[in-house]
Amino acid sequence: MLPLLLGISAGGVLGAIARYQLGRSIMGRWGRVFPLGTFIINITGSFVLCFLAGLLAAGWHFPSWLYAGMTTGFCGAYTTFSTYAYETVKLAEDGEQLTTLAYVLGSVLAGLAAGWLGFLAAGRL
Amino acid sequence: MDYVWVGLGGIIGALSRYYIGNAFALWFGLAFPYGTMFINITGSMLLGLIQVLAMERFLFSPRFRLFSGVGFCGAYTTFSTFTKETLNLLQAHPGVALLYCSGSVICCLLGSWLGMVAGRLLFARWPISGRYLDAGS
Repeated sequence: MLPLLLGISAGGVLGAIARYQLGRSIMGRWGRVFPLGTFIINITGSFVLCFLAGLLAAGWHFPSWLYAGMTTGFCGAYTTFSTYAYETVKLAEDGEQLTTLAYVLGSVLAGLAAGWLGFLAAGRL
Repeated sequence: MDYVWVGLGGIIGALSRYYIGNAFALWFGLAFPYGTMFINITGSMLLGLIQVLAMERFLFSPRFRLFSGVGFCGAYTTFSTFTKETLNLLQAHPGVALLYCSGSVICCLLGSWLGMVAGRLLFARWPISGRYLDAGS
């Protein structure tokens, strides 16, 4: 039980800090109109989580603390639904209707496509 | 120093998600991802409230916003698990997958908006020159 909680905590720290730093870097460079930071973070995180789940399904073995640390800890903390929802509402409040729609639907569709690719990639290893 | 506050919130957020997710799986089973849905909706409401109090009413220090908003709410809610669960449901129950996917998005947007509105209403009379007006974001 303790190794599992430590794994999730370590993954949570790394995931949250990675999201913060990557989000800042991306938004500093390109983020004026579109919340590109959260978009890229959520899509890459979906790919990684589904890739790991695919490996497990394909018979790979991980110590449970490591698997929980990478999935529940890192991928869970790295990706975020609350920021995605907040940014969407802010875009809508600012009257950016097209951007709002592109962001809300684009995130879900690109995330699902990335996750599906992750599953496929893991099956091919 | 920012990393310390984001990381600390991240630990608490990830562990809360783990325990609440487990509790929901125990109570309601694994047929529908109630846990992730509950987590994402409550986290979205909380972040909406935090953002308004921090960025519009200046009641929170930048440090506290990093801890509670970026760290805790960001790590507590999850997009990757939402994606994985939708894909899993899609294989066996496409209708349920559509319900979960659209339901999560709609409820979380509504939740975030309600959190923001609550923050603006509850603190409408608060002096806009809050404590941390000069502290930046």
